[in-house]
Amino acid sequence: MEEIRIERLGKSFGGHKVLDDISLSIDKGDIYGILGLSGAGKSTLLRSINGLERIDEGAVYYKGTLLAGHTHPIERRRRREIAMIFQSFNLLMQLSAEENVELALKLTGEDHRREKALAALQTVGILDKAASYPAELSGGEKQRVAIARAIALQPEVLLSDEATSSLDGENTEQVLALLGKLNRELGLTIVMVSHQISVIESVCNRVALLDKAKIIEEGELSEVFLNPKTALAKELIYATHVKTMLDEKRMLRLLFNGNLDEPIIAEIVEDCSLLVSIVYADSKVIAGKMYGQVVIKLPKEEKDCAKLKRYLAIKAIAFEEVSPS
Amino acid sequence: MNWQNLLLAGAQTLLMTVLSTALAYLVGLPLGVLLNVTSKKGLHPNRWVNLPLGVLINVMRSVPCLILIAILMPLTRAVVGRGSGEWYTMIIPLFFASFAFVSRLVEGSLNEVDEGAIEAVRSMGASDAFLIKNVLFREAKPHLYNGLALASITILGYTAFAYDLGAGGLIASAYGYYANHTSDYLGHPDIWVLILAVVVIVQLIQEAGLYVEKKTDKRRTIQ
Repeated sequence: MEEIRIERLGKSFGGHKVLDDISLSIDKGDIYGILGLSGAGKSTLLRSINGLERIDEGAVYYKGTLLAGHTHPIERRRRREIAMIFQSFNLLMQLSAEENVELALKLTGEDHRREKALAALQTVGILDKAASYPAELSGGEKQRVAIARAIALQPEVLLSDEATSSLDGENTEQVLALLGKLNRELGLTIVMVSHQISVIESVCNRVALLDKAKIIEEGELSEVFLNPKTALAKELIYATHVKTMLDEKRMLRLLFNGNLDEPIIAEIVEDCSLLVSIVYADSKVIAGKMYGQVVIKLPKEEKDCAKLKRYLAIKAIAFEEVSPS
Repeated sequence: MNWQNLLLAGAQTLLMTVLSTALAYLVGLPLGVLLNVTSKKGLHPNRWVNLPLGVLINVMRSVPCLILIAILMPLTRAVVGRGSGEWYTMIIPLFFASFAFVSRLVEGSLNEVDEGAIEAVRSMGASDAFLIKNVLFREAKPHLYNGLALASITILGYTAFAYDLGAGGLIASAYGYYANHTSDYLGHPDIWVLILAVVVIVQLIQEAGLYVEKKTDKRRTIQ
């Protein structure tokens, strides 16, 4: 079921277009990733969803009704259905963890605020730090408090603006695991902006790639990540050392579905009588499935290249020639 | 000078300071909030409010205290029944001399509040009034307390002009000793007692301000 629909959204700052004709649809229960380089417009897109940025063109629809548009600023109370967490946590430094969460509940005039705040802190696994002030907490703990504050009002959507970018590896994993748990257990739809591909691929089921104010690729994570079509997508998705070799060598990228029992390279060597050299190989778990890729240098002779490609086609192994972008 | 006179002068100084500071905050606090809220990075930017208000406040700050006392004499007379000669005739001039300064102090304290914290609460649907009360004031509290101490000390310094109105107080009394004993005023112990009393009061206010600021500021709590 569609939860958020963005239609032809545009936004400029001082005559400079930061979002141009953006349209996308996010379903209930999605963990939707928005990936792009710095300055691509990711954060502005996210902030436009809950009205932190006024939209210049287009509209945002939530559950089929207009949420925000050029002449229709978002209503304050509707923001409570769409919570947000930030890279710098944005906690009130003079309030304890529990008071930070309580503040959100105060907005709606809820009863039993303390109990509800403590329950939210328990959900994110940080109840023991309820009385601590942000200055006494680690980055990961601060982000958990921010998540508790965000979910205290029981929103249906959580917008995450580079929420793990200032965390170390271990804390990033813990926060991502927590977001995954909230998605599964509370049915929370999450829209996650990041410039870190590892963050997007570890939790998202759908992804949009943003470049220079436009969406350049969008779809299921496995579809976009395993068959990147645009130069930027390839740049974001390929490993750095593959990219550095692209200028000089012709290479072939083989994709396989994680079936580790099939000795692909050995079969090529044996069946085609070709010697291949492996430039890069890795495997990823995307949406619970394992995917692998091997990048090999193409043979020098054109007829050998053609032979190899024919063989791969017969064996139904997905491949693409990796050329300098 | 006997103890009775010293206590009377001390009480006059404290009353002038406390009442003028209270009045200055009564007006300066909302003006400071308005300056912050309508500024370019404020909750509700509005240059048509911010610019004229800023100019008015700067003009008020530029008028010397002694000139204000003279200009406001008719107003003081109309409000308190007389223009000079009693400690309470200083309240209105001191209030006018300090509310603009207080509004800038408040504005400065509120400017220190992290924009991210405001944005986070705003993203949850908070109104401007909610943000002012629950984010700006709460986050700026330690700075506001320190500003209160600073404003009190500045206003206490302004009570020196009470000498010109014959309104009493510790500083005016000390200056009175100088005026009446110009040749050997430094040899007179009374002047030193009065100076010491002023220094002690200023130190107490300053230390109290710093203590409260430190006690309420949770940003520097070390794990």
